[in-house]
Amino acid sequence: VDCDFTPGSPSCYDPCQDGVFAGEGFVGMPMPWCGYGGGGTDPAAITGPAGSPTCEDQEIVFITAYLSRVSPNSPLISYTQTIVQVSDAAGIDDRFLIALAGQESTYGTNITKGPYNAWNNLAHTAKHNPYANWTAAINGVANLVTGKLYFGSGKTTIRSIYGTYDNSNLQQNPNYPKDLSGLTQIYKQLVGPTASANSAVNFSRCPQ
Amino acid sequence: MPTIIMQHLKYGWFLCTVSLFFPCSAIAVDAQTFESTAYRYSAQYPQGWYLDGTRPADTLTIDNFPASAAVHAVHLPRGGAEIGIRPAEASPARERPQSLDAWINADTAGEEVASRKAVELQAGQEKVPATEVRGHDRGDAPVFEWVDLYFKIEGRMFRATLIYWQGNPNAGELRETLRQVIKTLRVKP
Repeated sequence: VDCDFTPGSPSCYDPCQDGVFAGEGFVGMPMPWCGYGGGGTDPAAITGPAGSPTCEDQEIVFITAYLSRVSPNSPLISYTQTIVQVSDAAGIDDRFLIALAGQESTYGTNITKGPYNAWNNLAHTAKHNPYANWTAAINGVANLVTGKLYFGSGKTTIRSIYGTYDNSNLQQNPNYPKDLSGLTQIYKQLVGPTASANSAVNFSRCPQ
Repeated sequence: MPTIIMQHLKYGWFLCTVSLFFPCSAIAVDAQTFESTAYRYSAQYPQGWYLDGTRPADTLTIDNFPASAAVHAVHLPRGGAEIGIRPAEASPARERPQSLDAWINADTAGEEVASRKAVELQAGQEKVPATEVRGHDRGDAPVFEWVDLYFKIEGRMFRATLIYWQGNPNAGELRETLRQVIKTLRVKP
């Protein structure tokens, strides 16, 4: 079921109401990018007096609040700063990495393919090249998706990335349509109703 | 829905290695043809390579392994390789390059480039100047190594890419396969 972002809908996570953040624990915090994609402010355009929250500060708060709401036991909650900073440096939407972890391992709460491997990167299983820590896993997935196999080959939308990532060959992976739908729904929760499987994710939320 | 025409041809796929060490030899095997109706080009690829069903629409991407061997997330199994040939027109409008140099500069801006040099390619019927860029993905091993060749054929810009795991002992053969596929490239009016 598509999230329709009706205010108060229990199945949706819309952290913004009337241009301010309304997520649990952060109610009322100004969020200049609320509605971005639907007429809000581009986070890259955020400026403020010295000492005011930066674009990345606000993005970290946003991602932390989202994870705390949908997956309170997610180990990624402690690493949202790393996820945002690594994503911005690499040139990928941090919300996509969160959504990918959501689809692949329920935000890291159901890891089956090796330590810290919330993204099910099978080049890093428990037996072969296991990740040593969360930072390595986050860098690993960001480098993979922004590398030659994906962004470097023109695969920049959720559909084109996940088609390769999850093997869209239905004979090999009959669950692919359901998996893609699941990933897209999570991304929509984070981005808003304008997002779709055709959304491009090759941009930094807070360009450096 | 773009039309992809694949056909097995009992047409010689000539792997002709030209070097001082190995004499030029022709190995005739089955070749398969990919044809892009949207972007008006075709190319042939050798037996043992498979059209990648997850490729961007109507552009050539082939793997040296079947879909059943694809590995979750990284796609390429150990020893696996992927070759892609795409014209500039296949890039999204806002990213479409205006020149080969602009294309190279845009691609390499965020990449780990090991070398960049001018080379000559046999592309279709023409011998054309090209730029070869080699590099690897960022991060700790294992990462992908890649070769990009940028060239023009009949006035149209193309990029041919080979991706494989760093340390692949067959990298030289894979690069030769890339050149052989480019050699069969045909552009339609």
